[in-house]
Amino acid sequence: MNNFTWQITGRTLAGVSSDTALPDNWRDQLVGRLGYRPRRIGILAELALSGALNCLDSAHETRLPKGDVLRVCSLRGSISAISQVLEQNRDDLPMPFSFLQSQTGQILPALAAALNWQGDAGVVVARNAMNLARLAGQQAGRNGMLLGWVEEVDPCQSFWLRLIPCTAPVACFVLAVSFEEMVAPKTRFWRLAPQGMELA
Amino acid sequence: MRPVYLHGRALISALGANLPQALSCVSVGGRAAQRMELPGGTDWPYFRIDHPEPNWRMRAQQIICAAAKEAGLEAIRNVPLFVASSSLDIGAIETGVVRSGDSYDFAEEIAGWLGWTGQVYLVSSACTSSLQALLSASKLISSGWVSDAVVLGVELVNRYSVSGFAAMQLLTSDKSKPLGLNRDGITLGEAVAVLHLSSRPARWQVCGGSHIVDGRDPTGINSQTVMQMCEQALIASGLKASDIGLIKLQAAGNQVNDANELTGLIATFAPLPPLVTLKALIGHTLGASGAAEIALLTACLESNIWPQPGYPFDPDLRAGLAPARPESVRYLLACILGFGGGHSAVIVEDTNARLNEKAELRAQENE
Repeated sequence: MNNFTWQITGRTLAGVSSDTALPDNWRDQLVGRLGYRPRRIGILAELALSGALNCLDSAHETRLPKGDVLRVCSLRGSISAISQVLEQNRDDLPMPFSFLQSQTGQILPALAAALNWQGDAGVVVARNAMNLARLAGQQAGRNGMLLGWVEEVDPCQSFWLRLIPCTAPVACFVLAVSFEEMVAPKTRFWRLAPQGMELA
Repeated sequence: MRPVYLHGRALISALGANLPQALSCVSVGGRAAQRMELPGGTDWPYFRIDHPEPNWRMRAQQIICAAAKEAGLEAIRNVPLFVASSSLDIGAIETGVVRSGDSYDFAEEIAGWLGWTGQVYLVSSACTSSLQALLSASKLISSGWVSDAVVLGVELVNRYSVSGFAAMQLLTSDKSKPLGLNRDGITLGEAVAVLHLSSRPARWQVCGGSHIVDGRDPTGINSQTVMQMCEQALIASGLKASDIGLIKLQAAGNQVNDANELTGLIATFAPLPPLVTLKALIGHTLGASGAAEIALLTACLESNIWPQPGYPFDPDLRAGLAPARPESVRYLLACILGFGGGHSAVIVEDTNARLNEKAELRAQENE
């Protein structure tokens, strides 16, 4: 059991609160950032791409290192595509791309392709975001993390954090009591501890 | 790093209501798939669990609780539980039950059925879900965060998956023939599988593994990534390619994916160790497949019961399936590859074979 420490180097808060709502033109911005219009990957994957790329930009990184861990949580998943497939499926087979888009896991190859990256990526869901962040840290160990919470609706959000491993700073760490505290702008470091995640 | 062992397991599948029934079914050549009729007038083979309960949710509860009982989970309900599923409870939604909340509700519902008090995580990364869950659970134990963790693979009957795979022209209309000549597609199936991992010693030890998402093909297998997956799994396990005595393939009967998988394996292992696939017996059980196939394979190895494909292999693949249980298997590599560009592998050691090897070495030294 090691007390791994990470520095938060990038974050995007799109949709986390009314102050940080996604801009209406977020899809156009994504096209500008990618240099092409993403085709047939579905709205959830597009949202994920938008948030993840903005997050890496804010961390001043152009690519994700090979050993880092990418985790995405989506409580509702690809809900619009799932509804579409269920509707299509009432009378006939669904459209193939509708079915693909309805698989929440399709976020992962879309992200991997856009980041020109291969590695340990997964869709892992828990209602308690603190638990999920802790699990990601336990999985990442000495490596960095790119963590995202993406929802199409209620509210539409693509919230991402970039954490890179670092040596523990000389600072006073306190045990996190809420996820809001973990992601607050004043929080710069996470440290894994037996009782939970400690913050500084 | 603490060692991680497979302390308990269970499987409910088309082969039977538990692992002994599954083995008994395998020993007589398995069971034919049933047919699932879809709107639009097509019907497809489907490996369905034989269970009479008509209500989807009650059936799910009964099957999941029975699997938990078979794996002996009564005493460890306060450890991390990884529910791994691709289709979740979409079968219930198809019967008209409206999901009131979100997808995690299903994981919480399962936790309620089992009286679970530990953390519950839902892994939904398509076909690799339960193998990814196994790797996550192993890491928690090997790093010393917990002593036990449970992987629950759940893939239960629904039209959504079958119609989606049919729409993508991935299904066979007859019988899937992994690595077979004239193979023309896969068959889906349902399964509930449990793997109880623990730091307490048991026969099967989880040595390590790897999970790589490759964005180049969101629906298929990339042979280069298969090589990387194997290399990373070997490194994580502290082993070399020649240590592997058996490979459990993903191979499900897809023309291109079976070939790509074999190409990657042949490039990694020279010569190839014996190969086995279980998808002709239980179908591709999607998110549950990793856990289901490890449960079934370890049981087959223990009981000396071996699947018989019963069809000719494709000579272009330069490999076929082992016709009988390999005489001695100490390390096996289990692969799950597929949708979402996921390439996952885990290496498991039979500690009985390790003891036998040591005894043989001692005997040779004494001679």
